Amino acid sequence: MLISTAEMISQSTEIEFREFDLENGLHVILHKDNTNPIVSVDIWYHVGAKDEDPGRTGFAHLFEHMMFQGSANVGKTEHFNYIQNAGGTVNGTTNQDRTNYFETAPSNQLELLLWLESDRMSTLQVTQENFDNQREVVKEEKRQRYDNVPYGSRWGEMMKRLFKGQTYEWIPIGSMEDLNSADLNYAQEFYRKYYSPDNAVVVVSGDIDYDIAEVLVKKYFSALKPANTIKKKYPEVIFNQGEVRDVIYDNVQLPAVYIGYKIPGTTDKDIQALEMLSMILGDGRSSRIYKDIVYDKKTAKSAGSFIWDNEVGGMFVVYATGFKNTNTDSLINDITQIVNSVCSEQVNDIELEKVKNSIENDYINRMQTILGKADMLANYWTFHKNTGLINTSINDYLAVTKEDIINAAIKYLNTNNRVVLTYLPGSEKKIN
Amino acid sequence: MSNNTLAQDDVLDRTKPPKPGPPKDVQFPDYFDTTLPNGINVLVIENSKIPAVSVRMVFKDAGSFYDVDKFGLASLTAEMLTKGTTNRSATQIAEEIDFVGGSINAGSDWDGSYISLSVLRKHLNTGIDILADVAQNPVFADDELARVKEQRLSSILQGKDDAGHLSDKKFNKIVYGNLPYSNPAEGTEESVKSISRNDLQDFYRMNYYSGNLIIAFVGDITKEEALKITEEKFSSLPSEGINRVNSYKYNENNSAGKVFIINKKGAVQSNLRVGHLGIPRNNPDFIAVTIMNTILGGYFGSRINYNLREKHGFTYGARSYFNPHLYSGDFSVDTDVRNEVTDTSVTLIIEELKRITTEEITDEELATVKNYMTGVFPLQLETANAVASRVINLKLYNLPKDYYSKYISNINALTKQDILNAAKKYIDPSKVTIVVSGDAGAIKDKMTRFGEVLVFDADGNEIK
Repeated sequence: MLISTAEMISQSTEIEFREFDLENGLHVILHKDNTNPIVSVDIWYHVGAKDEDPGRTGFAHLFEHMMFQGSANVGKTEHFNYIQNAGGTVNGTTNQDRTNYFETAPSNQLELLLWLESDRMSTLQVTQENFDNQREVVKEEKRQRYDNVPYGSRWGEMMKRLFKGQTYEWIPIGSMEDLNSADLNYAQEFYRKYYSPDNAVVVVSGDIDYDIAEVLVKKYFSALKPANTIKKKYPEVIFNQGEVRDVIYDNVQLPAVYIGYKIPGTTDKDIQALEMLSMILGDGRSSRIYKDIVYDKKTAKSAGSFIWDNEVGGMFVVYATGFKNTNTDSLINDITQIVNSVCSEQVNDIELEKVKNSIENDYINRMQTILGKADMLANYWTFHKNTGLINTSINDYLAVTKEDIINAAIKYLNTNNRVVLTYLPGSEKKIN
Repeated sequence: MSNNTLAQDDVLDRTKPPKPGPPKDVQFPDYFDTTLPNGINVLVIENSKIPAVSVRMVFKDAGSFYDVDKFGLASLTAEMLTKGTTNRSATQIAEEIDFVGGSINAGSDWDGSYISLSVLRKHLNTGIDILADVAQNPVFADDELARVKEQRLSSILQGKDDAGHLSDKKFNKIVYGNLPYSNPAEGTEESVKSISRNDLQDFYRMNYYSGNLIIAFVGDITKEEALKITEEKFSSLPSEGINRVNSYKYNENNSAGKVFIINKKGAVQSNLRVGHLGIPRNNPDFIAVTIMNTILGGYFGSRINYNLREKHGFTYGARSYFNPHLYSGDFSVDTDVRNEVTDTSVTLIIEELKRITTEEITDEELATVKNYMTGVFPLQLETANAVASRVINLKLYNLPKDYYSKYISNINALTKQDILNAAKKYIDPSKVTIVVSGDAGAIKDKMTRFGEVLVFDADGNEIK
C-alpha cells in the first residue's frame, strides 16, 4: 500500500532537472516547465545569521538589503526598476543558514535577470548614504515585525535560552544595538567572504530551453572569481542541558506558552520522524494537542506544534494561546502529559497513515509554482548536496515506522531538553 | 566592493542590460461556465499539472454586509459549518478530512460566504462527501457554538494589541459612516455574546441557497465529473433565499481634517492610515484607478514607497490601496513609521496625493507601470487556483465576461491624461481622514498641525 503510493507520486510529478558546476564553484540547476511563459531565477547564498559574529547580530539580513543598493552597472533602486519594467517580481529573504534572492518574470526576460544577479554577485557598490538608509529601513522592519507586535519577541527569547553559547543563539533580525553599530567596512568584508560563486547555487526554473539556459548562465557567471572562504566551525548543539522556565510580560491580552525542545540538524536521520511526530501532536484539529486542550478541556484558544529545523540543529516547538483566565502552569502540565503520552503509549496506525497522507498532499502542492520548485531544488542542493531528493525525499517519510516516531519522542522530547516560555499580560506583573 | 572578475570578462559588455527576447502571447485560460436549472453556477478551471483538486463554493452577496446589527454573524455562521452536521460531529469532520491529508475551510468576507475543499485527486470522493455534508446539513449545535464564541471573544480581545487591526477598525468606522462596511466583521464583545443558534440558522437559510451559489472545480478534474458531482451531491439547498434590497445611501462624513489617534502606550511605531472613501469593484474606471494607484503607492517602485523608505528610511514599507467591495470601497495609504517621524510622514504622504492629483505622471512612469502590470499578468495566472480566483471575482462583482481578455489592451490604451483624470476624480487630498495607532503621548502634539486631534482607547472610547 505504501509502496504503491510512492510509485504513484513519482509517476505523476517527477521533477526533471539538469545540474552542473562552473569552474569557479557555482552550482547551477536548470528545471524546464513550459506550462506558462514565465521563468524564475533563484539564488541561494550559503550564508545566514549563524555566520554572524557576536556583536554583529542582524548583519546577514542587513546585508541582504545592500544587495538592492547598486552594483557596477546597476544604480540604487535600478535593480527593482529593471525587474518591474520587465513585468517581474523580486524579493530576498535571510534565515539562520542561507540568504536567497529570487525573481519571476516573463520568460523572454531571462537574460536580464541573469545580468542583474551576476552584476551584484561580482561588483556590489554601496555608498555610506545608502548603507545608512537601509540600516534605518531594517530598524523599522524590526519594529514593525517584532518589537511592535504582540508575542513578537517569542522566537528571539526562545533561541537566546535554548541555544545559549551555541549556534543559533540569535534570530536573523538581530539586536538594535548591533544594527546601530554595523558599518560599511564590515559589509565589504562580509561581501568578499560570502557573496561568491563558490558559496552559491543558481536555479533557473520555468519556460526555458535547457541548452540555451545553460549557455546564458555560463555567459554571465563563468567569469566570476571564487572567494575560497574557509568557514568557521559552528559550535555544536548540546542536548539535555536542563529545563529552563521563564515568564515574559508583554503588551498582550491573553497568556501564551511556547515550549522548545532541541533537535538535531536538517540532515539527521531522525528529522523525518520528528516532523511526523509534530504533526501527530499538533497539526490541525484532529491532532492530540488540539483535541485535548482546545476542544475537550477548553483551556486554550489555539494550539499546535511544528519543527523548526536548521542546518546544525533546531527546535521542536509546541505552542498554545490561552484564554484570559487560563492557568498557564496547568496548561504546561497538560501539554507535557500529551507529549509524554507518545513516549509511553503508542502511535496508532490511523495517526501514522494520516500523517503520511498529509505529507504527500503538501509535497504535491509545493510543485504548483516554478518558484516553489526552484526553492526545493536549491534547498536540497545547499543543505544535502543532493538535488535528486526533490523526487525521492518523500520515500524517507513513507519509510518511517511507529517505532521511529516513538524513539524520536523518547530521545528528544525530554523535560531537561527544553525551554518553556510563558507570556503574560504586562498588567499582571507584580511589583516586588 | 568588487569581487574581481576573471580576464575573459572583457568579451562581455556588462554595462548595458540585455535586450528581451520576443514576447510570448498571453491568453487568459479557457474555463467552463454554466448555470444549472436550480441556479447553481458551475465553473471548471481544468489543469492536470498536479494530481490535486480544489472545490470552492461561493455564496454571492451573502457576507458580513448582511450582519445588520449582529456584527460577526456571517463569519460565525460560516465557521460553524464545519463544526457538526446531521451526519458528522465536529471531531469526525476534522478527523475524516485530516486523514486524507486534505483541508476544508469555511469563512466569509464583506461580499460573500465561502467553503473550500483542497484534496489530492485520489481522495476526491471523500473530500466531496464531507464538503457536501457541511454545506447542506449543518446543525449549529449549542455546545459547539459556545466554544466558537469563546474563541471569537478572545480573538477580539487579542485584536486590541494589534496596531494595524486597531487602525483598520477606526478607519473603516469613520470612512464608511452609515454603510455596513463600517462595522467590525469579526463582531464586538456585545454582539458576539448576543448571537444565538437561531440567528445562525436564519442567516444560513437566507444566505446559503443554490440561486446565489457558485461552485468552482479547480485542477485535475473534468467538466463532466464536475457536473455529475454538482447534480448528485449539491442538490439539497433551497433555490431561493433572501430578497436583497440595498437601500443604504452613503452620507458624507465630516471627519476630513481630523486626526484620530488610538492610544497604544509605549508603542515604538505609529501605524498610519491616510485616506477616504474609494470605489466599488465594478466601477468602470477600476483599471485606470489601479494603474494610477500602482504609480502612487501600489508597488515597490511607487512614489510613496520610494519617498518614505528608499529616500528617507522612515519605514520598512509604505503602500496605497483602493480596497474595493461590492457596493463601495475605500482608499488608504498604509504604513508603519517610527514615532519621531509620524507627522513628517503624513506631510510627505499628503504631498504625494497632491502631486498625483495635479501633475501628469512622466512618460517613463507610465511605460514602467504598463510593462509591469502586463508583464506580471501571466505570473498571476500561474496556478489553477489563481485563475479560479479571478473567474470567481468576475461573477462575485458582476464584471463583464471579457474583462480579462481585454485586460492587457485596456491597460495599454491608458494615457497620462487618463491617469491624471482618475487621480483627480477619486483622490481628494483635502478630504483625507488621518488615523494613527501609536503612543499618543509621543505623537499627539505634532499631529495638531493636520487638524483637531481626538484620542481613543483600544475599545474605541474617546479619552478626553
